[in-house]
Amino acid sequence: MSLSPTGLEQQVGPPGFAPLSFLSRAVFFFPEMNSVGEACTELKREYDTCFNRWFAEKFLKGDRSGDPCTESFRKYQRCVQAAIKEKEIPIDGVDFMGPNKDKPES
Amino acid sequence: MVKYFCSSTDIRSTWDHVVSAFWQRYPNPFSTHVLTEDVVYREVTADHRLLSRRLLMKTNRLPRWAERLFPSGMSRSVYIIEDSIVDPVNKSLTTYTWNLNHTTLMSVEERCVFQGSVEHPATTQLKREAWISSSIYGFSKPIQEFGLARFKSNQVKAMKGLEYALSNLQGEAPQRLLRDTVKDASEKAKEAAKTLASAAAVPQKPRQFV
Repeated sequence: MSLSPTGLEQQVGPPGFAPLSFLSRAVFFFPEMNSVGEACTELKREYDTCFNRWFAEKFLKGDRSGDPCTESFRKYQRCVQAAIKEKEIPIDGVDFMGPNKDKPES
Repeated sequence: MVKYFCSSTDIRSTWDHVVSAFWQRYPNPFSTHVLTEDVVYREVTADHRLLSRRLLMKTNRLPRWAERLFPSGMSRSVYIIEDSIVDPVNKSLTTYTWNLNHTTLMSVEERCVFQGSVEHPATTQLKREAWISSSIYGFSKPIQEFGLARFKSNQVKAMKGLEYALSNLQGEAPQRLLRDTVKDASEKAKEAAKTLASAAAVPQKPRQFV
């Protein structure tokens, strides 16, 4: 693989196999998503893990027993809401489904 | 002036799988432009629906002519809100997504409805609508055309990303869960690879590795 004049060039592989080989390499480089608050990423991942399990095993099956993720959500939110304020992201007071209210029913 | 875009497609997966994958679709090889993802609100209603709000931060990729006109736009990321309602009784997931900033330049709103079917449980119908507009006088049309083209390209990436998440969930190698051609998929993969390469060439915060 040689460097092109513009910088790094990614070789994708022979056309027939391009999608799979690219995807398998990409998996190695993209383990998890980050939070907008750098310090919150670990708390986010803990919460996400709890939520995904609860969602598939309880919520979708109509199980209305307690939510096991309340505590991890609370910790995560404390961190991320502080980061949102600090970065002045204009999310405060935005109505749920805000602009959808003006749209005709699909 | 607002451009309206609407499409319907069938996803060859059960609604339960689609909704679970919806929460786990980032990161994926086609979402290199999505930098952060956070759930900022969540509530289970009395009638057992799940309301959620996700905040996403994406890079703002503009064509050269727009970069020259709006140089400050380059340095600021785009913040996007994704509100959603999961109704497991009616097997519907409704999402509404829009950008919080850069709205004068371009406003993109998208509504998606993922509907499960009792008659065809192995399939989920997806209906998407988008509204794209720009308030910049004199540049509206080219900006809207660009916005529409980027939106369509992002939609393809979004579907590829969802397919990828679905395959991971189902423990299979990534396969085509939508009707698509092999040539099309490899072209999209090459496009995604170019985005990766150009992202690698631009100085940015180092990614976290396991």
